[in-house]
Amino acid sequence: MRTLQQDAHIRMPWQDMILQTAVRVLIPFIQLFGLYVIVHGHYSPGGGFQGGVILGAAIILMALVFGLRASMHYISENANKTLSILGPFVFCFIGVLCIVFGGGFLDYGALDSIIPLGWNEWRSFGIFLVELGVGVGVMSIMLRIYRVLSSAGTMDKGL
Amino acid sequence: MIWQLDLFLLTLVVICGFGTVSTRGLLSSTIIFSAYSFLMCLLYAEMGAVDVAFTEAVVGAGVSTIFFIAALFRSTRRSPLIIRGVDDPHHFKDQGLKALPLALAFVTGALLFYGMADFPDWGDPGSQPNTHVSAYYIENAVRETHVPNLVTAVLGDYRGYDTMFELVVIYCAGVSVVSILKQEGDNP
Amino acid sequence: MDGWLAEIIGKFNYWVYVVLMMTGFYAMIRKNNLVKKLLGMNIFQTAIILLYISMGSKVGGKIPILDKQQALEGAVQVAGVVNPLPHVLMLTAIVVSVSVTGVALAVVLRIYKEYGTIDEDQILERIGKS
Repeated sequence: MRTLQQDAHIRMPWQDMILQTAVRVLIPFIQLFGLYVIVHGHYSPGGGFQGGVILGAAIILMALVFGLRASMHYISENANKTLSILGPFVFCFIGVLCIVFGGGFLDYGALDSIIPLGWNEWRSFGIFLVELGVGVGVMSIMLRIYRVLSSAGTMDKGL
Repeated sequence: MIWQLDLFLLTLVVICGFGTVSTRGLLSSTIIFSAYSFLMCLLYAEMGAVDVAFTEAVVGAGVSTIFFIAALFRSTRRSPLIIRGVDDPHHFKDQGLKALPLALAFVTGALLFYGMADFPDWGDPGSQPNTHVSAYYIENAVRETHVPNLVTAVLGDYRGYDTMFELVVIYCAGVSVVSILKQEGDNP
Repeated sequence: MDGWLAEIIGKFNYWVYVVLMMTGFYAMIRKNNLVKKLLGMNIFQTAIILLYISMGSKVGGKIPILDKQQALEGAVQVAGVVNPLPHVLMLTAIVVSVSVTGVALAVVLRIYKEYGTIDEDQILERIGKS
């Protein structure tokens, strides 16, 4: 009876044609769906967290089927570190921007003095901006945790 | 909120929960746990919590299962295909302690039963959690924020601090995982 | 007697939630394998989230996504819309639970690197030996 690890060593990930062909077609659609879920958080179930995890799952799928090195080629480790700090940074930046323009922290209506859209509309737009930040942050953290766990710290050879 | 569907799903959930705990193989336990997460997602959707059901489906049945399988793959090296967890009940050194966990679970369960008797009836619109602040959100959130999805409006605007610190918690988890498993001499 | 029986049947879901919680709790304290303990912790967490969501549901209530025109014009029936506040809190709880699972699995992998096993009794033996 072969073990899971023995099989994976011999049957290398980049030689499994059916999986590779199917996943190569699927990944752009999964990413598009993830972006759709983030952007339509106002009008349907969804929002930043759900869309961010779907986006991360698309790249985890790439790492599973094509190997960890292929996903490193797609989003390198330094780019992932930058993206992961970008999420909380966007949130705090918008909060401080609201203070600079006269309101409280995360008081989106105070941004009305830059571009006059209306107090209610700015609240809707402010929620949209922070949801974008949340989505990007969650995507990169899920990818990072998966890479570290599946390679046991070495970032060399995944599942 | 159809109580027949609810009873059916709850029965399946309890069966999956018992299956996860009592299965010998670790990989089988993880897959049964993924089925448990999917059934939980159906329960949340049936009770009207569509956002929570979406999150549970993606996070609980998707990414969490992948994390478990990745960790199992990296840890049990010289074992057969059915990754077997060593769960021998005779490992307890002191035989008198064998029944203690079950007794503890029963005692805690009995205390919780006693506490739950005070809860409001299921689905009561006039109960305490359903009246004070959430009534304000339901009546005024769309008028003030122009966002039809009440959960997104409360999450992003009225309770924005919670969301910001939740994001910081996720970031700290990512940093912790990297720093726990980093090899010596790697580039940070 | 009659009121006691009506109580049990009217709140049957709460008893099932307690059974689920105790299943996870029992797995956390009884099992020797570290990954089994983590699975028990996850079962406990999802059962607690289920309890909160069910406290916010209403009989005959619609989901908390309203029709924008209707909500801007007229009054919204509070008793006809499911309570959105527990949903918000539980979204945070689910995402925090997956973060905790990720960190706990990293610790399990580190323990495996040090001691070569993820079984609690064998780890205690190897700590005692070295």
